Amino acid sequence: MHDCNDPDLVPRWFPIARSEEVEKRHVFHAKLLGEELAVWRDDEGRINAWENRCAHRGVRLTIGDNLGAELRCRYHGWRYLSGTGQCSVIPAHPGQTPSPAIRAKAYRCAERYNFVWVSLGSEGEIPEIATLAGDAPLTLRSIFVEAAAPVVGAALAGIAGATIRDPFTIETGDTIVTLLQPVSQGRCIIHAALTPAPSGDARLPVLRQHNERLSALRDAIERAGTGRLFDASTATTVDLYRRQVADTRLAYCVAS
Amino acid sequence: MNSSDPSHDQVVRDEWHVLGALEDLSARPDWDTRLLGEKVSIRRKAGNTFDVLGKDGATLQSQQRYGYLWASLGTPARPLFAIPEFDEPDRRNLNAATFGVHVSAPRAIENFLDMGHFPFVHTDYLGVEPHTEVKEYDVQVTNDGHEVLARRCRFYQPRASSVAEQGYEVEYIYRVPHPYCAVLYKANAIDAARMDVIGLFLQPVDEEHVKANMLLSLIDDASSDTTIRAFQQTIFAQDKPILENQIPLKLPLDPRAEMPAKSDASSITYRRWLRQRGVRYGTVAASA
Ligand code: FES
Ligand SMILES: [Fe+2]
Repeated sequence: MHDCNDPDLVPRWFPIARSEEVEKRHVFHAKLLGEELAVWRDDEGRINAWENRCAHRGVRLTIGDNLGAELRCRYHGWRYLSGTGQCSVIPAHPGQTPSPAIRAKAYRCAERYNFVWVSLGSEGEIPEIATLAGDAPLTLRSIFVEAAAPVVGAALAGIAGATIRDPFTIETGDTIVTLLQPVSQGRCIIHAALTPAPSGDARLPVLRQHNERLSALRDAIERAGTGRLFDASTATTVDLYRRQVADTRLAYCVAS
Repeated sequence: MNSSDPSHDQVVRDEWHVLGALEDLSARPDWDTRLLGEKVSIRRKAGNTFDVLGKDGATLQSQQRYGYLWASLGTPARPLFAIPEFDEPDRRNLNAATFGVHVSAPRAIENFLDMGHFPFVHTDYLGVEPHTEVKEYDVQVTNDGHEVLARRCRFYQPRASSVAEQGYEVEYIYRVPHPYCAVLYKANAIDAARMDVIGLFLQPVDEEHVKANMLLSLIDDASSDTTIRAFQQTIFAQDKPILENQIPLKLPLDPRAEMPAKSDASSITYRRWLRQRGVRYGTVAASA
């Protein structure tokens, strides 16, 4: 179960991985709003994001096996079908069809902008991000921060030239979009994408430069907390961000 | 603490609980451990006897049995369960392993009762695909409601013990005579008329941590202690990561919380039995 009481936040779509991190024949572990997820790609390329708990005895599905069309639990080998999460095989009872009531809890998920997005609710759409709408953007290494998403969002808004799209989507320059994944109340992941993707030899230095900037930002947040991070020139944007956060009642991850 | 606080579970406080193997205890000076989340101190006395003291320094009831030290934080209503085979003169009794596991005691008992995981967790030892079927077995509550008993448990095993060289269908009997202890009987690989006995005795360190002790009482004069221990420790090490990845770590007693199959008959009965006895420690209560 997620631990979020904020009804506006639960159905919202969040990026939980870069597309390339969810490889075939692997099971990727993610966490969103306190809910653990088993994320896996079937051999057709389709993504699944399931509650990370086998319906049988609660074993984490992330320690199971991605068989290509089914996910198999490590404990008793129960198999769940890609797409529906329906249990298809119970090895202790070969030849019997498992009850339709036995299924993995599947969340809505989709790929967009080279990220895997998940919504824990049943309404709403993936946010449109015009800057990323063109050619496939280049995703940066995602950065885990030991701080609540709005704290990190305020720090991102404090970067010179930042534009706030919403409390979880901040463009920190003309070509870079950062997206926040609220992992739990006090933790988040910064995903980031560059567009257009720099080509050839330019790629590596650009990636490295952005990675260093974001890592430095993370270090500063974890060291300093909020407050002292910003200089006067960006105070207005940071203020704007904080007001937006207050207006959208992000009760879940805002320190009161 | 109030009566609905699972950490103060009088039913469980009044049970005998294992505190370690005597052969390990005899090798150490005084030491402290934890039982049901409370500090317990073991003080060595003359002649390999022990005093067990509770957190307030009061002496707890204790005894030595089956090669282990046992104590109670409360007042046991009954003697410790019986394993008559243990006292047969030609048996080899040994503590095969003591393992810390980050899981509740009831989850570990369920794992011990469970044959369905053999081909997947103990691949090529206790089970192997395609021999995954769990045939129907009998399970009942016996001994005036004090024990769960599962009989006619049959399973194909490629290598059922440290002396087995080929696969065959083994037959097990499981007893659960204590919320946190279980005893398994299986026909000896050499002398089919007699049963090897394996006891799993869990020290509930707290609600989500156990120290699991495995007693072997064997009719086996060939293998060395080292070989026997190595086999059981391999099996144990295969279960540990599974147990530590169960959500929740406590055992849900609500029948709707998890989805059993027919092969889980012993687990269903065990959960119901815990519910009826009013065991709360290490479980998630059924919602009304
Ligand atoms: S817990 Fe997953 S198959 Fe049993
Ligand atoms: Fe096992």
